[in-house]
Amino acid sequence: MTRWILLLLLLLVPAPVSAQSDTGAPAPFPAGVDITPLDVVAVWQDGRIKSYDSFARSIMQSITGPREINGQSPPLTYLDLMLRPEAYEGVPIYFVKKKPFRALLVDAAMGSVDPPSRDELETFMETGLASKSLLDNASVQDLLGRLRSDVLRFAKPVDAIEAAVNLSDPMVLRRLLILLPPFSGQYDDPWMTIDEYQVSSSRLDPNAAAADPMVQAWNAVVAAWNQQDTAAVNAAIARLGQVLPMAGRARLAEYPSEQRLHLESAYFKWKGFTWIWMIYLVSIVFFLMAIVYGWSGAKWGGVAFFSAAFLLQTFALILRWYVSGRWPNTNMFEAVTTSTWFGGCFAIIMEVILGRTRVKNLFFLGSAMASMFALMAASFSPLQLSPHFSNRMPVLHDVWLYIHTNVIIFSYVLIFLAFVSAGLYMLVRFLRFTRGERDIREHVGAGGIGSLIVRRRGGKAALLDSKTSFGAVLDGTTMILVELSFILLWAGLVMGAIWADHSWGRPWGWDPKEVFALNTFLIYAILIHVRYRASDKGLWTAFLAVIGCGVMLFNWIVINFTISGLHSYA
Amino acid sequence: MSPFKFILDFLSSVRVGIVFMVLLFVYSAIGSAGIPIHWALWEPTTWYALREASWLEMTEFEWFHWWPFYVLVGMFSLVLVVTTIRRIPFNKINLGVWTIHTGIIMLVVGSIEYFATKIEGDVPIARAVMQIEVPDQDPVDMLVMPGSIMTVGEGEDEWSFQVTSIDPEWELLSGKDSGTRAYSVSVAVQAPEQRFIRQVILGYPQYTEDLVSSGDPNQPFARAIKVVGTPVIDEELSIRLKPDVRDHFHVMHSSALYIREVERDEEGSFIGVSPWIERPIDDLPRYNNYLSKLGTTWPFPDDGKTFIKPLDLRADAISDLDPLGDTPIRVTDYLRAAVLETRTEPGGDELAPSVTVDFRTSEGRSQQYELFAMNQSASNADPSLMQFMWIEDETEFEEFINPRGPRIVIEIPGVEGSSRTIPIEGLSELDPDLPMQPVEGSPYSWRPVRYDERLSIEGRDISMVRVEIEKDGDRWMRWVFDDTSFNGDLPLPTPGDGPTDHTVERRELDTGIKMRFEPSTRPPAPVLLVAGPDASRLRLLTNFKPEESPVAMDVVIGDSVELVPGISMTVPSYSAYTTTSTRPSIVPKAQLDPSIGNMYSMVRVDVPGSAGREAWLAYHHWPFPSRNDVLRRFPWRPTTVELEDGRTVQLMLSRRSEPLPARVSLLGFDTQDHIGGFTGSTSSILNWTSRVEFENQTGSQEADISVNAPAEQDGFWFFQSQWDPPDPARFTGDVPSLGLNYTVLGVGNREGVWIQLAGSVLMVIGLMYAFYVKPVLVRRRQEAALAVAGGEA
Repeated sequence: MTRWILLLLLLLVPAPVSAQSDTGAPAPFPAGVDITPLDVVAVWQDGRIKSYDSFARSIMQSITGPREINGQSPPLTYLDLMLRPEAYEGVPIYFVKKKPFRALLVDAAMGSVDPPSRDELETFMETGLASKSLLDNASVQDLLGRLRSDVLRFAKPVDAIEAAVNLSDPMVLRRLLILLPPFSGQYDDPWMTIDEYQVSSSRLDPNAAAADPMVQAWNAVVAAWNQQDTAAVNAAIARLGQVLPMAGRARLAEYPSEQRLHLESAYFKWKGFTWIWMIYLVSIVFFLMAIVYGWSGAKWGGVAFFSAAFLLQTFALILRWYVSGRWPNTNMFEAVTTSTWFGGCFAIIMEVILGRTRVKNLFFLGSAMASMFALMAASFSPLQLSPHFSNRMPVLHDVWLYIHTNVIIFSYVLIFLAFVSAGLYMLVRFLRFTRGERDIREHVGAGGIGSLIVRRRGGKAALLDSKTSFGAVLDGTTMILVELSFILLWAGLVMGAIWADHSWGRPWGWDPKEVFALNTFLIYAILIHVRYRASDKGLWTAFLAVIGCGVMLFNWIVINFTISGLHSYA
Repeated sequence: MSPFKFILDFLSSVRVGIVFMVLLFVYSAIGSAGIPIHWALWEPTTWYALREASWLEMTEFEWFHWWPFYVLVGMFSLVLVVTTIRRIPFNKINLGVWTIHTGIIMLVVGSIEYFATKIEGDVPIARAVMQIEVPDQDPVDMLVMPGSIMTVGEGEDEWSFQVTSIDPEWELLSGKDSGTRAYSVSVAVQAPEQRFIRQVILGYPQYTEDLVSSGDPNQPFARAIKVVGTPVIDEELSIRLKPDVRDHFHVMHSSALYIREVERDEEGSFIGVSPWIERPIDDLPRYNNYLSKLGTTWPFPDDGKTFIKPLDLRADAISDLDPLGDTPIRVTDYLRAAVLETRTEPGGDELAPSVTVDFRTSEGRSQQYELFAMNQSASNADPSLMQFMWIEDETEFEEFINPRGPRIVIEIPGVEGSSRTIPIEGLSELDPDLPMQPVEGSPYSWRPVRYDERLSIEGRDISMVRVEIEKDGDRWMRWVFDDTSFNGDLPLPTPGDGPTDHTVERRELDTGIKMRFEPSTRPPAPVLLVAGPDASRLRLLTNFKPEESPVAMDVVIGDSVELVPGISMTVPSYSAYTTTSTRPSIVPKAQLDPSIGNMYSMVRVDVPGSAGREAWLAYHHWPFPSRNDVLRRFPWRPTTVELEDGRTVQLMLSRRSEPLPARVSLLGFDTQDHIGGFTGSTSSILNWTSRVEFENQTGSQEADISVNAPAEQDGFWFFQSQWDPPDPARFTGDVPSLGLNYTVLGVGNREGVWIQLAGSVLMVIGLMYAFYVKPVLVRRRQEAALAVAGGEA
C-alpha cells in the first residue's frame, strides 16, 4: 500500500519544466553588449524608483510577456528596441497569452488576401509571439477591431496587444526612460529623461549642456549603438553607469544607494527566486519516504532540502522587503509567496514542538507542497503573478494591511496544509477501499490539539500513541490545522471588517471576496459540526477540509481574476 | 410525540443546523459569484449572475436582504439558540461553545440593526462657487469647473463669462503670503464694451486682478496694473469665490425622477421657473432591458433576441410643489446602457440626400462613411479628399466638368456700370513683383496675394482671397470673402514682425471699393459624389490632378469602382429623401463593461397631460440643478416635455436625495504624492485629503477626511470616495483640466457596529477556549479522575 501512496503522490507532483525557451539564436549585435553597469542606475516609473533592470523587465513584460527575444535579456532588448528598432521589423516580439485567442488571429490571417507564412503562424501558435506585420495584416486588424467591442471576452487581450505595440515605439521607450532627478533636488518634483535634461540645460547654457558628462555618455551610447560597435557601446554604458548615479545622488537625497539598486537588479535576474520550488520538490520526495517508510535518513534529507529552500525563500522575502521598502503582502505575487513563507515558519515551529509525536514530518510535507505549488505558479505564470513592484493604492496605506492581510494569508496557508493532510487521508482510505477494507472508522476522537492532550481510554493521547493508525494521525493533523485556521480566518475577517469600516465607511459590503472568505469559514463550521454528528468522522473531516481549500483557492484565484470586487488588488 | 416537542426536537437538531449552514453557503455563493454554466470557471462568461436575472434584478445588497436570506439566518439562529440551550450544558467545559454561539447571536442582532438602518450614498463638493455681480443685475452663481460658461444680462447689456483655466496649486508670489499655494481661477470676461481676463484666488480676494490686451502679439495679455495702472479695470464687476455648501447626499442604488417647470428665454434656452422636485422610483431594474414596444429604440442585436417586456412603475409626487400635482408619472421602459443617437432612414418627403460609401484597399482594409449632402459638417469624409453634394441645376454639374478659375468681382459704389469680374491670375505670394492692377475710373489699384477655397470653418464652407489695395499712396490688405459680410481691411504686415493679431489691428473697411470673391468651379474634392437635380441620379466626379479634366460617371448602387490602383469605392446605399430621428441605441450585452454600472441607463416615462405623452430620460449620477452646477466629465441632459396646458417641464433621472446631518463645504483638497510628484495618475498619489467644514445648529467645525481616516458628524461617517483627476480637452472648444476641482465624499451611518464587533470578538474568544482551553480542562479532569481512581485502588 505504501508503495502505491508514494507512486501516486509522485505522479501528482509535476515534473520540473525547463525555463522559458528562447525564440532563436543570439544575434551578432547586441549579443556582446554588457549592460550590467546599468544595474546601479535608477529609473523613475509611476512614482517609484527602480533599478534599470527592474524597470526594463516590467516594461518588456508588457510587450514580450514571459519570452526573451533572440536570447537577449529583457533590459538589453529594451535598449536595442529603442535604439535599433529596424532590427525588429518582422521579428515576432508581441506576446499574445491565450491560445484560443491566438487561434482566432491565425484563422483571420490565413483567410486574408496576403496571408503570412505557415512557419510564422506555427511559431506564433507555439510561442505566442507575433510580429508587427502579422498584427498589421488587414484581416487580423479587422478581427481585432470587432473583438475589441466584445468587452467581457476579448477587450482585454486586444487592449494588451495595442498597449504592447504602442509601448514598443522607440519614442515611447525613450520617453519612459526617466533617469534624472529634478534640478531642484525636491522629492516632489518630476524626474527627467536625458532628452528633457538636454533641452532644459541647453536653455540655461548650451555650451555646458554639450559638455555635460551625462549627455556625452548618453550620446556616446546612442552613437555606438547605431554603429553596432560593441566595444564602444560597452565603454559608453560603463561611463553612463558611473555618471548617472553620481549626478543623481548629488541632486536628490532619496536617490537609492548602489547596494539597493544592485540587489533589486539581482532579485529580478534571479527571477525572484521562484525556482526554489524545485528544492521544495526534492524535499517532498524525502518527506514522503520518511512518512511512508519511516526512514529517519529520508527525514533528515527532507529537512536538509526543506531548510535550504526555506532559507532561500526567507532570503528572497527579506531581499524583496528591502528593495521594495515594504513588507511583501501587497499584490498577488507577494500575498501568495509570503503566505507560503508563513506556512514554512509554522511548520518549523510545529515540528520543533511536535517532532516527537505521531504528526512529525506532516507539517514539513504540507508546507513544502504549499511553497512548491505557490512558487511554481509564480514561476510559470509571471503575467498573472507578476513580481514587479508598483506603488500601493492609497487605501492600502494602513496598519490594517499588515494585521488583516497577514492573518488572512496565514489562515489560507494553514487551510492548504490541512488540504494536504486531508488529501493524504482520503488517499489512504481509497487505497484501503480498493483492497476491500470497507468498514474503516479512522479518526482521533477529540479535536486537533485535544488529540495531543486528552487521554484516550487506553491511557495516552491519540497523537502520542504509537498504536494510533496512520489514518487517525492524518485526521488529527488535519484537525490541528483546521482549528487554528478556523480561528485565524474568523479573526482576519473581523479585522478586515474593522479596516473596511474606516476606509469604505462600512464593515461589510457583500463584496465577493468577503462573501467567499465567509463561505470558507462556513465550510469549516460545517466541518466542525459534521464531525460532531457523523459516524465516519475522519472521512467527512477530510472531505470538507478539501472542499474548504477549494473554496479558499476559488476565492483567491477565480474571484480575484474573474469576478471583480473591491478587493481586486489583493 | 406532541407537536411542540417535535418542533423543539427539530430546532435542537445539529443536523438541521448543518443543513441551514449548507443552505447559507449555497445562497451566498450563488448571490456573489453566480451559477457556473461551463467548466472553465476562470472565464467571466462562465458565471451566470442569477440575482441579475430579469425576474430578480437585485444588487448584492438586495440579494442579502431578501426574505429567503432572512429566513435562513433566522432559522439558523433559532436552531442555534434552541440547540445550545437544550443540548449543551452550561458548564466550564462548554463555556467556549456557549461563548461562540452567544457571539453569533450578537453578531446577527447587530447586523439586523446595522442593515435595517443602513443608509449610504455620496455627496460631491466643488472647491468653489463663483458669485458674479454685474451692474444693474442680480448676482448669479456658477460652479467653478474648467470651461464653465455663464451669461448675464441681455442684448447690449450682455456679459459673458468663461472659466478659461484653473490652477489648483497656484503659487502666490507677492506679499506676506508669498510661497503659499492656492486655488486660482481665470475667467474670460466679455463685457459689453471690452474683453479681459480676471484672475480670482480662493481665500485671497485681495489678490484679484485683471489681464488686459497688451498690444504685443507675442504676449497678447498683460497685468492690468502694468497697462492701465490699476489691478482691476472694472470696479463695478464683482467676481468672488465662495464655498460650495451641500446639505443633501445621494443614496446609493436608488432611483428618482426630478421634475421642474421651465420657460424659454429670449435666446430660446430653457430656464427653470420652479425648483427641481423629487419623485422616488422604487424597484427600478438595473441589469436588463425592458421595452414596452418596438420602434422606440434603434434596432439592436442583443444576442439575437428582440423582446417586449414593459415595466409599470409609478413615480408618485411627494411634494406639494410638484409641477404636475398628484398626477403619477409611469415608467414604462428601462435600458441598462444606451446612448441617444440620431440616424437617417430612407423615406419621407424632405429632400435630405444621404449616401453610404465604402472604400476598400487591395490589402483588404476598408472604411465606410455615411454622408449627408445638406449638412455641411457631415457632407465629407475628409474635406480635401471626398465630398457629397446636391445640385439644383444641371449647369452646376457642367461647371464641374468644364471648370473655370477663381474670380474677383470689383465694384466702385456710385459709379454706374463699374462692376467687373476679373479672373485671378498670378499671386503676389508666389510672385512678389506682380504689378498692381488699376481699377478703371477710380483711384484704387489692387493685386491678389493668395486665395483659399472652400475652407470648412465651424460647419460653414468659406472661400476667400487676400488682396493688396492701394489708394493715393496708402496701401493695405483686404480679406475678400464669397460672403462679403466677412470682408475686412487690415494693415499690411511688416516683414519680421511676426504674425499679425487681426482681432486688434483691424482697420475700418474702406467703403470706396467693394469686392466679392467667386471661387473656382473645380470639383471641391478629388472624389465628388453629386446627387441631383434628378432625385434618383447619383454621379461620381474624380479629379486627382488639377491640370487634368474631371472624369464623371453614373454610380450604380453596389458596384465597385476603382478610384486609383489599389483603392476601390462602392456605394451600398443612396436616398434623396430621408427622415432623421433621435432614439436610444442600446449597447449590446457583449459590449457592456460591467464596471459602468447604470451610468448610461435610460428610462422611458409616460407623462400624463403631455403632448407626446412619452419621453426618454437619461441617467444622471447626481441631480445637477442646472448646466452651471455640473461637475466635469458628467453630462447634463434633462428631457423637455411640452404639456397640453401650455406649460413646459423638464425631467431628469437620477438618485434619491437625503438631507445631511450637517451642511458640509470643502475648504481644500490636497494630494500627498510619491517621489516625482503628482503626475495626474493615481499611481503617483499616496493619499487624498478633503479639508471640510461641517455646520449645524450648534456651530461649525473643520475636519480632515482622507483615505482610511473618515470623519464622524452626527452619527454619519464621511469618507474619501472619489477625486477629480486631470483631464485633457476632449472636443473643440473644451478647456483642459488640471483636476482637483471637486471631491466626492461617501456618507453613511453605521448603527449596530459595536454589537457586531462585540459578537465577533466573543466568537474569537470562544473558539480559542473551545479548541485550546477545553482539552486542558478535560485532561485535568482525567488526571483528577485517575488520581481518585489510583487513591481508591
